[in-house]
Amino acid sequence: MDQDSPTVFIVDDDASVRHSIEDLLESVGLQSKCFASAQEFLSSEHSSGPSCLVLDVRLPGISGLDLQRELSKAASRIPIIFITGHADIPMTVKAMKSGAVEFLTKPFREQDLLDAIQRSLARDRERRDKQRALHALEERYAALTARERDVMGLVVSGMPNKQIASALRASETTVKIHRGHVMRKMQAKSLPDLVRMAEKLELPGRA
Amino acid sequence: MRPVGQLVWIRYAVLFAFLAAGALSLIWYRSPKRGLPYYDQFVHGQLKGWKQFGGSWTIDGDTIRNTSGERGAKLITGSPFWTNYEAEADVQLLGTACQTGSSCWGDAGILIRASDLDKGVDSYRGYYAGLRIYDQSLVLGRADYGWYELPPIPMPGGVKPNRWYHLTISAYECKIHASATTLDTGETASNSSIDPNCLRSGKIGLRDYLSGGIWRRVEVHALNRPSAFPASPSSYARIHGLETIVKPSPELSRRSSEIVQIDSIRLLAASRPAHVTVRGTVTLVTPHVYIQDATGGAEVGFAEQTSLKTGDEIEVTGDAHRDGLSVQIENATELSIAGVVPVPALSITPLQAAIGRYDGMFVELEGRVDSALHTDKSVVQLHLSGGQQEFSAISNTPQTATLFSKVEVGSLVRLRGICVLNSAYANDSLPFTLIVSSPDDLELVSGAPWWSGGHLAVMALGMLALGFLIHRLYSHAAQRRRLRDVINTIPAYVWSHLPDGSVDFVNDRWLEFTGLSREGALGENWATTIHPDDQSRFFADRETALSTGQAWACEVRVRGANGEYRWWFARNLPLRNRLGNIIKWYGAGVDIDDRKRAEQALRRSEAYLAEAQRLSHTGSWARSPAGETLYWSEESYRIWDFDPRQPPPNLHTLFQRVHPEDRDRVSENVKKAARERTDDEGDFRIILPNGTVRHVHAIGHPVFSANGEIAEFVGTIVDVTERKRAEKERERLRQLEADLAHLNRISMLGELATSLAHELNQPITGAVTSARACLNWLAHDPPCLERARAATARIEKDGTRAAEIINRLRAFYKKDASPQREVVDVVEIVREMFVLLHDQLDPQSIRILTRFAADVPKVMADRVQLQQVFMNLMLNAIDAMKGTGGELTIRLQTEGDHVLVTVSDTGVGLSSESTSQIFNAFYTTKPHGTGMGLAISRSIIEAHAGRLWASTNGTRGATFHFTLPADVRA
Repeated sequence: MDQDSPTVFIVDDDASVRHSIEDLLESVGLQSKCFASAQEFLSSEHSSGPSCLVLDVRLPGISGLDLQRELSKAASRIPIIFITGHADIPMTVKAMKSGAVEFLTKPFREQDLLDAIQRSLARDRERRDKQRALHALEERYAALTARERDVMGLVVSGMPNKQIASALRASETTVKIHRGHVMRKMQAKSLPDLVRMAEKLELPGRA
Repeated sequence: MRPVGQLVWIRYAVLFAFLAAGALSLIWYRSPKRGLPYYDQFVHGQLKGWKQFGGSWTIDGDTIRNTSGERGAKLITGSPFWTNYEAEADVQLLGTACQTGSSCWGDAGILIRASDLDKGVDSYRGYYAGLRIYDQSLVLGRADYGWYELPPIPMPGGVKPNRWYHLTISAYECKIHASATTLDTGETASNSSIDPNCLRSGKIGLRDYLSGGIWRRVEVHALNRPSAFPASPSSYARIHGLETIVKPSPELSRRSSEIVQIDSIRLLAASRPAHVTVRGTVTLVTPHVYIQDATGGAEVGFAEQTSLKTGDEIEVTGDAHRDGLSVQIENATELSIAGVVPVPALSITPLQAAIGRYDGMFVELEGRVDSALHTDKSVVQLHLSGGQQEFSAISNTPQTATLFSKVEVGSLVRLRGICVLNSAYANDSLPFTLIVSSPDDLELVSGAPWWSGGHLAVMALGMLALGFLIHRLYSHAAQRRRLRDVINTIPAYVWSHLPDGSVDFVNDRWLEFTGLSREGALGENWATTIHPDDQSRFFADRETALSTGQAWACEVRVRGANGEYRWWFARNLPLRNRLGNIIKWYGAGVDIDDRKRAEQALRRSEAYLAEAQRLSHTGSWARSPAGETLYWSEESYRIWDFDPRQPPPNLHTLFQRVHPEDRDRVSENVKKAARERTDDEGDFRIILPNGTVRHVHAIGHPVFSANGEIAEFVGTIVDVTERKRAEKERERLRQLEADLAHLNRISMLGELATSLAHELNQPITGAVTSARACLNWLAHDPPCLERARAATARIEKDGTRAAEIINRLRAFYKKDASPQREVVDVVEIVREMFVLLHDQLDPQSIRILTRFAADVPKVMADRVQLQQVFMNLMLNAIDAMKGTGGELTIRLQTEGDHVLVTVSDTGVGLSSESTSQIFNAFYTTKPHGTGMGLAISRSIIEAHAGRLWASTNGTRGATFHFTLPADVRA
């Protein structure tokens, strides 16, 4: 599977719904995977490309909402589009609050579904990209030595080098050297850039 | 029964006693020996037992004497029934009839076997023996209103006055014997006779003729043997012929040579008149003069007027001629001689007079008056008959005429008068006439004999009365006996009581029935036979009746001998006497027990019937073919709203109350039934006067008489208004139920809304999405037809599926009032339910378990209703397990001829109290529940002849069970 090709996961216990959605997605060039139950989905392999989940609320065994909860517990950030034959406001609210992208009642306008899917995929790509970027950042950071990390931390806090040197009991030069290494390892173009990176990395800052 | 009044009884008893006494005394009276022997000493100074016929009789010491010198004085005593006896007495003649000189006249003696006594010399029947002075003889003869004498026997020593003789006269059968004895000298004479036609019996008497007499020591002895009578019959002189006692006139005997006897004139003047001289006594003066001598009598017509009177003795000279047997002397001259000697009448019989021998003579006759003829007021002619001879007597003086007219026809009279054969007086049928000149010459011997008409009539009446009386008495006694028999035989109980209430009589039937003895019943004891429950009423009525005197009746129970009570109907009436007071009460009772019981049973059954009619609103009726109502039961009146006290209305009136719209139909039906002689049944409405409408169901049935004609119609009329209303109600209720069931289904549908929505959503979503896909495929360049086709196929499938769901549910929510029963497989229904409910089940984490037994039969049920029940139960089960999840188990098995379904859950369960409560309408635990679900389910199951009930599974939920009858045909 091409790790960048988007995949839509369809979880609905009704076969005709599954198949019809799958066909629809295919007609617009989207790949999809169908599951009859939440269980099946959970036990399946996750795609590496952007994906989203079209999820029916009423499912045998674990319901759609429960799955959402499971996924969020499992820290899965796959965007969920709920489709359901029966909806009441509390359910909707709960679903949305839990982070669902969309909540559609059957029968829905396919366009709504497709739009939601597109949005979801886009978001997911975005997230993935962000994730990747972050991951890369984290790798670069992990490549930093401890000292370098310390320096980085102080640098992003806006401390001048002199102060960093005194803080770290190193020389300023060392600090500058370290700083340079950090800049290089982190591939930061500027100090604000580094700051941003640090923010992304969610380094504990003094400021 | 005792007679009505003791007084009457006494009266009859007395009468009977009298009659008995009378009969006895009659027998005694008629005894020939009664009073014999008889002695009379005349010592009491009274003439006791003696009856006088002429004379003046006096008692003097121990004698009885008659001092009047009349002719034929009699003193009679004794019994007319003395038959064979001897009478004797001492007799003395008084010589009253002695004249100067030595001539004495008269006799005195004794009579025996005397009867038909009257005043007069020979006015009696009987035998007489006496001593006669004139010819100094003992006289014996028979008097029979005439005198028949035996030849007198000279008395030795003569018969002298004032001399005692002992005289005896006796009769035994027809032998008569007399004897006389001079007491001084003892000289006797006697005479005997046999009288062929003798007098049989009679009294004794003392008699004298002219001389007066004294008698003493009269004795009469009965004779049992003719001992004193001479044995040889030849010594009896026979009484025969006729001997008359004529007292010759002494003067007449002197001049016998010139004077002719009248008798001889008949010879002398046989052919031509003879100039004669006769001497005689004037016997009659008017209308003609008659003279009579010893031999005969003649009519004398004088040349000159004479003044003669009866009794003058004259000598008449004239021309005598004979006219038949009569002698008439004309141109007579008379020469008075002397005398006022009345000519005694010759006592002869009418037969003798008819011969003619005594024409013109003064005679004495006896005869019975046959008739009286009033020719004019001074002359009365009597027709008489004596013996076989009829004759007439004419009165020639007014006094005599008066007397004549007083004589009663049929009476026996003795007349003295001139016997005239002259046809001037006598007509052809009567040979002679007696001219009676003086009232003294008519003597009534005896009234009309007992066999004369008047007497017979009176006697007949008397006999009739007596007979009637006897009959009355006898029949009264017989009647009483009959009455008693009747009273004791009639099938009724009879009693009587006194005004104070105490019973004095009960009839045999009463005693028989009650078993009491007669003593036990009288007085007050009878009251114990009255039934205790009836006693107060009975005695109260009785008290009232006794005090008011009103007749009263009552029905009362009386105890019989066997101890059982029977109903009687008793009536009591008072009997009042002439004053109006009640003397007694009479009562009669009849046994009405059977009738009473039948009456009670009938009344009870009638009451039941009436009640039944009332309860069932059924009235019965009967009408004649003509339309006249014969009978209406009480309920009929109520139904038609007519007054039950009035007679039932006729058909025409009834029709007025039939609803106008139904009238024709009803009328047509009635006519048709009558025509075709069938039953008629139908419903129609009636309108009452107050506007109320009633629905009635009427049935009529013809009753045929023996000849096949319709005798009457009978039938019923049922007020079905209530029933109709109930039906309407039921209909409405059914409608409501159906509506409610529908509502229930609808409300259940509400519950199913999500399921429904989702259920439909799937295929629709699928279809729409596929449609989009299809379009997308077609929009490819080139269009991907394959994929488009596939999409379209999916659309079709989804559409059909949606339609199916809708169809299934359409039946469910359709508002169908009438259930459609069909053969239904319960398993199939359960599976359908699962489909319908599955998205309720899974999200709720409810597991479904089914336990279906093998060969569960199908049932005959309404599919929709059955689904409704399942829906109800399963939703309830799901509800019970909401949030907690659990197991829903459905079992199917066969129980006998039923299918048993159980729906169990593991939810909150039920308390044991609510297992029955939950089926109540409007019972719900849900905040938005209607509470109708289980109630309707139960009514559906019960309508299918099944049962629905709940049980608790302890803490783990509840189970609902229901049964349905298996379809036997399946």
